Amino acid sequence: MAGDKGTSMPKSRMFLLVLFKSLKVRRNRVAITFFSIMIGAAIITALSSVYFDISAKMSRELRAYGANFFIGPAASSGNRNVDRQTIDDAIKMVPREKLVGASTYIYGLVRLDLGNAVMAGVDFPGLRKLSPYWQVEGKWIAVDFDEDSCMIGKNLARNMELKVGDSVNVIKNETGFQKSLTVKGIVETGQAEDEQIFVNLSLAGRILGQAGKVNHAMLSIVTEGTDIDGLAAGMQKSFPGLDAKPIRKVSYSDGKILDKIKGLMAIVAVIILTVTTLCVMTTLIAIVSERTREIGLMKAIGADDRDIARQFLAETLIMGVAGVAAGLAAGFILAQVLGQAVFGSYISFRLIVVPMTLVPSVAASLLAAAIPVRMAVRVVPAQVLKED
Amino acid sequence: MEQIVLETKGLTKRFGNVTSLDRVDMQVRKGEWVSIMGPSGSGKTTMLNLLSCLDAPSEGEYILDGVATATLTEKQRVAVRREKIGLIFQQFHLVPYLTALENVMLAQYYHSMIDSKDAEQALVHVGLGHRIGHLPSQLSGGEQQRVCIARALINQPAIILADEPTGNLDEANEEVVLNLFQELHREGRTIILVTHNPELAEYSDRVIRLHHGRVQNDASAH
Amino acid sequence: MFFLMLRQSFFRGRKRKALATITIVLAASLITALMNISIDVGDKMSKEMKSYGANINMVPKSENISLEIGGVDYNPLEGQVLIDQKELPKIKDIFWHNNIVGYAPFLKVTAELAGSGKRRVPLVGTEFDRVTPVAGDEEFRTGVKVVNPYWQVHGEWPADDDGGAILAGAGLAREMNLKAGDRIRVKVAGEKGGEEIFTVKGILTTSGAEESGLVAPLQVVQRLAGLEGKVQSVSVSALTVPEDKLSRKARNSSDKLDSAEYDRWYCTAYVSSITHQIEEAIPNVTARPIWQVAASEGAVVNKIQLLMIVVTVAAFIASGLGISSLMVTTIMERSREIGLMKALGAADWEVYLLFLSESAVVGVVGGLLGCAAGYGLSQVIGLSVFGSTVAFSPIVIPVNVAISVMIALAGSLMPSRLITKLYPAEVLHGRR
Repeated sequence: MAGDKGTSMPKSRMFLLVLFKSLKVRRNRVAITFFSIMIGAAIITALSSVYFDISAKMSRELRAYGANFFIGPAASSGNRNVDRQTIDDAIKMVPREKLVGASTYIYGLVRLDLGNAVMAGVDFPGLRKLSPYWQVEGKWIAVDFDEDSCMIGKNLARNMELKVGDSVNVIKNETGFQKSLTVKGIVETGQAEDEQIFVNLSLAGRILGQAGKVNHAMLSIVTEGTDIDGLAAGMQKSFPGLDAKPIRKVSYSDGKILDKIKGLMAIVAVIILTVTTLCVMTTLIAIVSERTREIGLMKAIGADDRDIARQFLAETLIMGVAGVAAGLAAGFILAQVLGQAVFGSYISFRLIVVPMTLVPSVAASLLAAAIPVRMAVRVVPAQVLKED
Repeated sequence: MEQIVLETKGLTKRFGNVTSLDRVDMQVRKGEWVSIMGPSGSGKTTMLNLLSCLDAPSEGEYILDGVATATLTEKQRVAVRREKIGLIFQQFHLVPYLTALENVMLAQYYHSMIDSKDAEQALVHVGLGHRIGHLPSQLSGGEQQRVCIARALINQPAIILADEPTGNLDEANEEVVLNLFQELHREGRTIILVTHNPELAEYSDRVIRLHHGRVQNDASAH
Repeated sequence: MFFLMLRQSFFRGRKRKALATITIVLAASLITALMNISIDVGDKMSKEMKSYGANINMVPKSENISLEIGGVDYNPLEGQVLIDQKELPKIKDIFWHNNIVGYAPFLKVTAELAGSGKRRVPLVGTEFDRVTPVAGDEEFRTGVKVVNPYWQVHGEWPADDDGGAILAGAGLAREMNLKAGDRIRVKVAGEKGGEEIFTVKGILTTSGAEESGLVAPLQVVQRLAGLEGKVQSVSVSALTVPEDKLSRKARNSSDKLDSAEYDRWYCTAYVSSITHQIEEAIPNVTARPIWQVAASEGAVVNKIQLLMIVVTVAAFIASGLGISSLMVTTIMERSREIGLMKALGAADWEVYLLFLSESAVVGVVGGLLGCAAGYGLSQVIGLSVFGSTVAFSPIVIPVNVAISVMIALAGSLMPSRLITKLYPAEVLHGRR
């Protein structure tokens, strides 16, 4: 400014001059302030991003519980089976990105080498996604056209003295069908599956003499953001011969668990938010209060409280906004790290996070500056100025 | 008869049980140079704080340039300070991140209009025309004190209050500052100087000696 | 002399120290609370997971293979082995008896409904909500309401000792136009089968096989079927820890465990060790984990625990940086003091020692206070989210204090350049 030979200068320009010089010279302190605001904002951003995404993420995780939707023949029709094509069409009504897995089933009694058993025809790739909880010794059947292999329940395998790799004859007296299958895997679920034998759906249809027919389908659908009851009603309207309904045991529990997790995240986020805000505040208080002498001097040469408050709040506002901007970026990266570490997927960015971070951070910064400025303004300048 | 710029009646300041200043009566005429002297603890600093409106008295009256200040609020005292008083400190107290010129302009900023030409003129006046763009840390103690004086003068105050202005200076610089004060005196400014340095007090028109918060002696220096 | 200086300097900047301590208290309480929650969230969430129903199924030891398709059994009931109901309270005698949340016995028979062409439907007998005194807990309540909380009844739940009350499955009710308050005559199939007139108390929705049948109090079904004191299967709901390498090894080849591994497996609440202990306690039964619940619970609980740990680490880093920056400022503003100390001949390390000791004191005080505050905070979280208090793990205290001290020290070491590069003259003459 030394070179400025103009006679007069607007007050606003002087204000900005003092503001920026003060920020520039106190680089170290400004850096620390900026840094602590940034950290606080980053944490808030990351946590609120995770919070808004948690339902979607956990809803997918909860699909570990398997099927939560059932499609079968309408009870009123009295039929025990339906056309495979009809059920496949019904399954197509579920939005692709919401469908985790689905399999159609056909059941029937068959004779194995050592006794009778219930045989289930399934779609293996779909079943594997549908029932991640199956405890399989050996291997899953990976493709839906393998007609030489089967999977077998643990109890059935024990009774029939079968091990992985053995072959077993499947006989259906009524159709005269007979085929030797290799046991690819032995299944344990603790439920009815332990006593059943699983084969490819089209093979089962031929064995049982009911090609093209199925008993029902089980689906695993991401419930978050899906109107599952509406979906069921829509399906029943489009396919009057079908009965479609959520499986209460799973869908009810999903909702309960999601609520708990959301509640937990909300409380944890609020507490972290409060504590980080307070931490940022104490740092700011420490930084502003070391400038008591400067405030005293300004008062001594004629600055009134408004002048001082204006300067300090403006300084803090600049650091606050810059810190929050950097914090938003850093926080979004942090959210991705969190998402990758916990869920193995990215957390989506939501606009609501910006005001949610901006408002508490900037408010905390201004409040943090206001407290020591208020204290300093009350100090009798004479005392501050005499101190060494 | 010159007009009276500053008058106190029964000025008293107490801090808890300690009476720091006890019923001080004094008058300063326009253009007069008054020194306030006394040993440590005699109430010099309290006196200065009251006179500069940095603090309010517990009792008594203080009339500055026609304004009764004793009962003013803090906000009003700020206005009085801005309009009527130029302060010079022992520790200079310049804003460290502003240049010499900007430090002077800061006083203008708080007072009324900023005029960089005037501010520059003030610095030239104290002999710092060549150092207006320097930061306080780049200036010697004497130069800093001269910036402080320029700042005190810039708004044409009714009185100049100086607190031990040479206390932190070496002999050469003390000389420079002393000459400046003499010049200000010649220009007809009213100066109140708080010091314990008898050499400095010698140049003033009148010396007020404080002892245990009371005026012990109020006499012409010569 | 050092301690005198430490004390003096500590009490002189009391306001600053208080600020630093407050920050550490805040951060430490946050971390204490999060650590506590992380440690306890597994237990808490697995309790919540109980809403998915029982995770252990207990059946009589039998060589028979069930031939049931869609609720219709192709094996005759005759000759079926059953469990003695008197044995059931022994489930609460096992090593992990505190982890048994509840159990529900089931007895399923085929019944004929009078009218509507002698329609055959499954009739299930069970206990709904019964006080079952067991060792150590005279008030232990159990039944399907505890074990299968997803069962929903429109109307009323029948009382366990009400011989004339029955629930109708939603599917059956729809087909037969049954509603609460209707009376139906039910005859159990077979020669010994008794007959009884029931009042429908409510309509049951489960999305399971029960929806197409009737559910009545266990005693009534036992009497009607002539199977007094017998049950067919028992659903057990137990709190378990997620499966890991050891439990998988135990499951695949339990004889390959050495004795130390066996003890560890036996004394861990794996679903497999609990089923093993149930089989030990009650002769002639097979207890099997229902993997749909047991395995999935592990997966979900692990996720939540991981989430909490990651959040704790993030909060920890944030508060660590926050405290460090505060410590940096408190030291920076004391540069004048450092200059004076150096001018008086203090070596750099002596300056360090004073500042670090101060920080350590602040860290310890802040850490301890923070632990106390964090304990309260974790209870608030526990009560508001899970409706129960969170267990306090003592390990949190030393960890937290150590962490607080380390953070405070780290923050004090950061401006070390300030201490070593500071020339006394500059400071004392106010150039810095």
